[in-house]
Amino acid sequence: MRNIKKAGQVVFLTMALILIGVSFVLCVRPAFSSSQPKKAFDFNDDNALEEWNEHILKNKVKYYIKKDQGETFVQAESKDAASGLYYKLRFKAKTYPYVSWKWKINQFPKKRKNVEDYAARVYVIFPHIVFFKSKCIEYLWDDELPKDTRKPSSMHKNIRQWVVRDGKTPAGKWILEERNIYKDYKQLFGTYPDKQVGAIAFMSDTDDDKGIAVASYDEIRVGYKK
Amino acid sequence: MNNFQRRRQYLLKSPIQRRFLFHSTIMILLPTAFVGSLLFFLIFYLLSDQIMIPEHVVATLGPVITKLKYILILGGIPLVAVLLGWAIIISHRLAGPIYRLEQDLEKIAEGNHSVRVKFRKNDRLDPLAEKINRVLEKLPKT
Repeated sequence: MRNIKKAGQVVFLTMALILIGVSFVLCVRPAFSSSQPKKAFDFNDDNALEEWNEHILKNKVKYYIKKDQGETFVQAESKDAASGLYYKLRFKAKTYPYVSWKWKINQFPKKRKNVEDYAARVYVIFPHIVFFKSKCIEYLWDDELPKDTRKPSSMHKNIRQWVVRDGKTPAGKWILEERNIYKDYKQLFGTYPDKQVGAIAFMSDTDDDKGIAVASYDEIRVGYKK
Repeated sequence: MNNFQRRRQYLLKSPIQRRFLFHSTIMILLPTAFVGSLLFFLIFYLLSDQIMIPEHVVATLGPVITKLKYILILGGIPLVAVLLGWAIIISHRLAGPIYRLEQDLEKIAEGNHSVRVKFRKNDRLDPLAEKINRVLEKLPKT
């Protein structure tokens, strides 16, 4: 009888320890990992673009890994073209609100006023099961619009554009951007996101006015908190 | 086909037909609309998930949806009309014999025992008519 009681105590203690261990792992693990991005792209490998998907709307923008002065990065050369690279991943913007990247512009496209050809843009996409309810933040680098211009895209009201760099930023110089997408979403849409981030993308397009743009992207970090 | 066999009036003054018509219309249109909507959203969801870049999604799928709207309007109206016509025929096939039987029984109840129940060939209710007529044969003719 005493042995049965002892065995019961051992089982109970073991179960309690397992429960405490699992709870510790579940509670503490996110705290350790939250400063690490959900996904980081350094583009150091020649095949680094293979994990990205491309969609071509009109002609293919030439995206390739370029090595220059000891640095490797994505070079985008767009000539009367509109194709973008996207990477699907899921995370909550509220929990992991930061996205950062480096970019530089070597050549802005010549275009008419209000034409939506941009030398470089980075997308944060919040897909919805009803596709026309999907929302998107677009961070633009444009030489025509003033910095901090915020506007809906002419294509759809759920695509909101934010000019984060303008023509005053010197061309050919690497610039590091870091955005809090959770706060930016609130500023652009008036509410906090109710859907998870579903993809990030970047594009250099020149299809509307058939111009030429050359831009570079590097060190894209997605989904982390500080 | 003799005059009796031909359907002349498809909409009867019968609550039974109205009920059959209502239910058959709902049973035809609801699943059609439900499956159609599901397919619509599923196809466009999968397409948009493959395109992903928002401007490209709008530029690619926008014209498709506009065309589809016209097709749905142009094709949907005749389709609904055909389905409604079909529902009327089905409801008439079900409610028609009941309506006819009700009228015949009304005459019999008024004392006219010479009345004989008769259904259309397509109604497939001949055995029932035969049994009722056998009962009528046994009634005194007044």
